Amino acid sequence: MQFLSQTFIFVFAPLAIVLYWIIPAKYRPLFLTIASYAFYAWWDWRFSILMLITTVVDFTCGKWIAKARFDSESNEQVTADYRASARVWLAFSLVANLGLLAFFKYAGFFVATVNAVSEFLGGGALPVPEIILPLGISFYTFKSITYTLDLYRGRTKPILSFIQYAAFVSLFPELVAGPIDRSRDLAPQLANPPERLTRVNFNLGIAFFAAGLIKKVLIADRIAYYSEPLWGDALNLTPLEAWAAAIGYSLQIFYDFAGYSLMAIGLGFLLGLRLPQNFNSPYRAKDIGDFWRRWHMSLSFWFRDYVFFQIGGLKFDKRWWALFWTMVLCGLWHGAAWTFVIWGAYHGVLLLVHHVLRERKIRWKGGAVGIAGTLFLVIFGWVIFRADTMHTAYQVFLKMFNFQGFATGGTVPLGLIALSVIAMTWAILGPNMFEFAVTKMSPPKRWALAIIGIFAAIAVLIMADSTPFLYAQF
Amino acid sequence: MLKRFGNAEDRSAGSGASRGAVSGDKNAKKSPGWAARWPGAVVLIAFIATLSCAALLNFIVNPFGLYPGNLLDYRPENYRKQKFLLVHNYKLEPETVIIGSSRAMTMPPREVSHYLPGLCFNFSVASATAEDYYAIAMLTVDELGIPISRVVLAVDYEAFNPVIPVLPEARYFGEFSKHLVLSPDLKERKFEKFAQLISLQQTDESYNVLMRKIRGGDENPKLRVERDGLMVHVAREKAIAEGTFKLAEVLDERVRKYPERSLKLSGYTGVDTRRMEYLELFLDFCDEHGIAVYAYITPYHPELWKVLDGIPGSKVLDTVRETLDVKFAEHGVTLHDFSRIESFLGDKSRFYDEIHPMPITQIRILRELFAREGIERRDGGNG
Repeated sequence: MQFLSQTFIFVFAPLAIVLYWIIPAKYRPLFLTIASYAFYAWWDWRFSILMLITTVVDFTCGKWIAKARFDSESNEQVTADYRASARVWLAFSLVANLGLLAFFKYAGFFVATVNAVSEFLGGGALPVPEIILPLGISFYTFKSITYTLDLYRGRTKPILSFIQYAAFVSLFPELVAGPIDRSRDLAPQLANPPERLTRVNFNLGIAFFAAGLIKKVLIADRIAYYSEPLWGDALNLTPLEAWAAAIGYSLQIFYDFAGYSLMAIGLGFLLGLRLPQNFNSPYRAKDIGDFWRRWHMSLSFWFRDYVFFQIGGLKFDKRWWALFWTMVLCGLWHGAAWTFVIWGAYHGVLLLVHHVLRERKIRWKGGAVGIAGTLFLVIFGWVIFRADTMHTAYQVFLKMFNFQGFATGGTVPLGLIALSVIAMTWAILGPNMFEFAVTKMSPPKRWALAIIGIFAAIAVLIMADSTPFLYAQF
Repeated sequence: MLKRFGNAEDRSAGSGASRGAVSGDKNAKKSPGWAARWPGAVVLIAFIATLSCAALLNFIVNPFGLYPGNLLDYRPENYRKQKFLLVHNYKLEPETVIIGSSRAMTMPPREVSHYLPGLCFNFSVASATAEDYYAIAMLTVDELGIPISRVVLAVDYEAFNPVIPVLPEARYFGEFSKHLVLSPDLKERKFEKFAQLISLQQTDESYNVLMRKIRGGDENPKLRVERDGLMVHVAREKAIAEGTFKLAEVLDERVRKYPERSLKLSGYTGVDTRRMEYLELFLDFCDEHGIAVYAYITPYHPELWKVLDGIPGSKVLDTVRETLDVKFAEHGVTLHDFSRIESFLGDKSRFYDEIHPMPITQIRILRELFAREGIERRDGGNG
């Protein structure tokens, strides 16, 4: 099931929320688990078994790791040393999770790469396996890995109830495309849900969900409507069209994913849960480091904590190496294609340059220059990310920098220009929902609220033509 | 026993990803004043009210004929239903039917009658896919009781794309949908019919109908379906006559959008197996009833081919054509490939847009089709 379906908006979500608050608090984790599996099975029931396997494996591993690390009476950490048994169970959890991810997400890519090398060397080719990518696997796998890793490092406490753990892994608002939550943040909330739905949570839930819906359907999809045809004909663009396609996609991916995240967070509020902020106006970033603290925050912090720090990020002599490879892996996480890997490497290089300059106390002068410079670098990155092949990306870059070619014009729809100007202005200057929600501003006028409601309704009317959430494909 | 995990006080500082100071109970003091009142209710009421208005409008106008009422006494824009009613109400008894999508709707049945004996009716319908071929044949022979002898089948590449859904007008027209035998999931569903009440497509059409009613006109000013099933592009023909029709501008606006918006090329990785089964059913049905089939692939405008030829994914169209060639050949039918206008000496200026040929182009297609099938024009003319 998708958030952008009438079944979800008019049947599943209202029913799930109402039932959740009606049933006794102790049964809520069970209810959330059932609802989340139903939500997932709606897409393809077979893959819910896969999620169950991940859940069982990590819950079991977690239990054994906890036995080695925590006191069975007090549930407090009793030993600081990493016992061998804990290490074995952690390894088992990592191999199982990453193995599943490697098989379902990267097997085809791996074989295709081997074939390409083999063809270059004059060898034969292996059949490329056609494997369906289970929805949300990158997200729930990372969430589940986080639990065993944190347990091993003593940064979270064991979840003793399997149902609570299953609810944590499968929580439907976060299931398809995050945010990638952590057990130490979410599990206590699942264990102790509030008694009732408060006004604040209700209002924030509705506001976040409506804002997300509007961002996705009325902005991201409208931009895509104009810019996707340009990408479909990427090899024949004029310079003007190449810029329009690059800026259009940069806005599309931001509003698409930020819209999804807001809808997820809104649903969280309506269930009395606080889910992590995922975007903090990333196109307002003053440098590339700042960008990565604002873009897909739950993922970038995940890579910081579980990859960068682990592969030497805290060691002075290894930190650049660790930074670069963390970004390469981050790129690979997004999809099984070389364009994603190179996109990650591109950001790795940008971050390296940024940190080297910062160490030498060389900084951008002025906020606006920093924002504009960062934005351009990010937009170039999105060209690599969006292009089907590196050849296409290269051709689009050639067009973008063929300044003499601007005289040839091209057909950039007025709608795309207008939407891009509005969307970019809002992305840079407008408050994001979290800022809006904490501002001690006077209550919005009723007519303004009514307009938001009407816009959300229009979004529902046209959502049948919506494209799937971009990040749900990763 | 280990204690249950945590309580509110145990909550750690978090992952670094802020949960904001916008939480529920504990941080309510940090929340803005507005969030503690009922703005959510206002948003929700406006949301529900807007959707209710759209649903009411759609129910009353009923532009696709999906619901029982027809308060505005309007002929539904459901071509499947319209054509069924044309044959039924006028008691037509065609010997030949033209089956295809909107691309074949401008094929003049009168022209077919120059080559084949008896009456011809154009039963082409909007966005026809393989299941429509079978359902139309069943509708004509079984439902309407007309023993047709020949079918001119206009096959679109899109008709075998697994990503392209079946239109609501096929799903919710009972006489039609009951022939979607291989797709129990496509048969009428109450909830989906209800869900269609708040679809933009229907709301847009309801609004147009309402505006036409207010202005005193009944018919769709852009399109008209004649008694023999032929569709006339009224507005475009008028623009052509006045010299204001600019094909180049239409192509400029539409051609680039086509591969993803309409052909849905990124999801078209192979021939839809269920749709191939429908084709098999259709061809079996024709074999059993002794119906001769004259089949061709509909043309794209050369400008669209220019774009498609630059997209690696469009290679799938070759695969589709090869698969269809084999399937048709198994039933002794030749599928003529007219997807490029050179194949039938078409004129690229005689298109309404990137996929819809003008009637003059359809006449050229028919001339080439029947020439290849060895059928001469009965009146001896050359068309």
